[in-house]
Amino acid sequence: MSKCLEYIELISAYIDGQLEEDEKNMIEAHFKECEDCSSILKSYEIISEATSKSAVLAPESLKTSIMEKILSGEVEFAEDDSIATQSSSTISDEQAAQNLIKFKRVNNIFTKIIPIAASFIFVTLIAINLFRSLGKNTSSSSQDSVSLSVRDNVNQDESNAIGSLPTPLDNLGDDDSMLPQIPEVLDNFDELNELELDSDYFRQDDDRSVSTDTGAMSVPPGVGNAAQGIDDGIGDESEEQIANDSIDVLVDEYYEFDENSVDALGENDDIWWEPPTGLDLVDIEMNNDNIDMEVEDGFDPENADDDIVSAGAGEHLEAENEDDDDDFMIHNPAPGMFIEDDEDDWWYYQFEYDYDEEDGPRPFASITFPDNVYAYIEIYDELPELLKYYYPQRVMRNGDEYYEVSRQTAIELISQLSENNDVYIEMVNEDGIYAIVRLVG
Amino acid sequence: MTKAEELEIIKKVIDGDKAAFEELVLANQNNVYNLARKMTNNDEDALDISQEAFIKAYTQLESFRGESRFSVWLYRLTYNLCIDFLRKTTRQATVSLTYTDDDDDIVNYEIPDLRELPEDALLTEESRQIITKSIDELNDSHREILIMREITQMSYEEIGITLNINEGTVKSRLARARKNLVGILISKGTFPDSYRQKAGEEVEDCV
Repeated sequence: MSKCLEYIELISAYIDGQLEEDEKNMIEAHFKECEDCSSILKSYEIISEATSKSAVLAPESLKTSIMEKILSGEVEFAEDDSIATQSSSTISDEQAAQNLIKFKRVNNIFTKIIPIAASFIFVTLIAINLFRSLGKNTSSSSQDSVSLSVRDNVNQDESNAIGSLPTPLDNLGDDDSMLPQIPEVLDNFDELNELELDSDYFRQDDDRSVSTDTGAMSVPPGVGNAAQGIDDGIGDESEEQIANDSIDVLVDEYYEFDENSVDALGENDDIWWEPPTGLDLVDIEMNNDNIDMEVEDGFDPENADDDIVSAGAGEHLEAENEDDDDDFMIHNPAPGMFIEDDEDDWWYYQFEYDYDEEDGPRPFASITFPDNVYAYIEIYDELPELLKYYYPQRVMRNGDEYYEVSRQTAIELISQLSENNDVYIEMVNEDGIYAIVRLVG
Repeated sequence: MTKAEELEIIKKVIDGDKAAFEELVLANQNNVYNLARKMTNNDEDALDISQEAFIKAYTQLESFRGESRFSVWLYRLTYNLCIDFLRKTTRQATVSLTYTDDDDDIVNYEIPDLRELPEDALLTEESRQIITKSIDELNDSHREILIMREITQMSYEEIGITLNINEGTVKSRLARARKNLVGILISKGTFPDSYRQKAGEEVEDCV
């Protein structure tokens, strides 16, 4: 990268006073010799001056009206009733995926019928609630019951999927009080921070395009092809080069970094390594959440390479009978695949993105999805149009609006977004917020 | 107002001294109002949103844990309200006018030729208005971060917390936002035509 381009990135920080002393000195010296960068600096300064002067004083009526409401007792501290309104039932991903498939399948047929039917149900519900509240003259929790019933629609069995279709987005209306309320539980910050670290690559990568990042989650066709190419010849530098050049993806093998526990293999000793000798894999099954590895009896997890669990929490399951093999399970593996080589050794290949010549391979962008964690997605601009095809559940948390979608749906949605969108995903389990991930468009 | 002072006032308010909340309003109303004003581009909507933000902050004051500054918490509330508001009022029309620029493509990096122009000539009232209005033509993420930095003068840390991004992202996104804004201003003629529309190679040559 040219020096000037680096400076261009720094100029913005320079006018904000965010540079370290040495950076500041360096860029000031550069300004003296580079008219282009000086021009850019000047343009930023002009923008700053013009925009800062556009700030205005808040009208006096703002403070007055706020304080009147507070002092008159019109507004009071809110009681935290969010737990009370939480639905204890949660939808499984399998159910969500099945529902999603069903939704897609019936979409064309019911495109016209559903909005009409949903509108009718919606109006009927309001009328019933209104009638009840008038008839009984009570302030009963009609909001809660409606909210829960809407949420329960998503939790119906697949066999009832058509009848349980969530109301299409356009017909949900603007009345937020009619929406399910989901809680914001902030007691599990340790977990939250932990998963934020897992997702940190999204944050660290600054303004990288969403499409590149999210490819790591859905494993786009190009990546799959590249991995197949590696399978044809482990350690084949040319295959790797092809993968690298064509899709800007480096496929890296899993067991690495610890030379004490692995042996170099193949022609390219710098890249390919033999699996730890303490681990002898027999069979592997993968699903969305776990990698189940059957290992030979006597496997000692204590001596296994730590890296094996770094892509997800590992768990060693002792065999019940002597004849059985032990199992080792990696939960929530990062995207990748196992490949069997000519020697019947199994390899776990991890996809890495944006190979950096200076820093070496960086961990790829991925989100791990623990069990019982659901995605609440908040996307701007393109969301409404995209979500129409997924019939998400619109939910509220502390006054903020979210869409409840299955993890698969979240992934599909993200992969369809353009670069200029910010994607905001809150991973939530039954205890509340689990992690927050924001992809920067 | 320091964080400790904020917490002291919040304790007073929670203990029953409602009037003490006024100090928090006074300390933050300008930033909240300006943030909402630029996000919505409407004074009345900004007033409503600002009021709602303060009322919401008040009603939820007991749940404020002091993990961040109250002001930052308030900005985030305001920002979320603005986003909700904008979503409800359909901004498709403005989106279509958005100046599009491939952020990653250095070929499009335009450099204004400001060498010969006196600064006063650029900063006429009209120019200022064009510059501030041109912010609206940026995409949402660039627009909001420029508003927070340039108009409400929020620090990188405050912006990061408000937008839930790290400071590195704040830094790079601001740089891109400014870059795109310059491009818009050049295309409008507010900044003089670029003396050359640089290709990457040319930029490399400049040092």
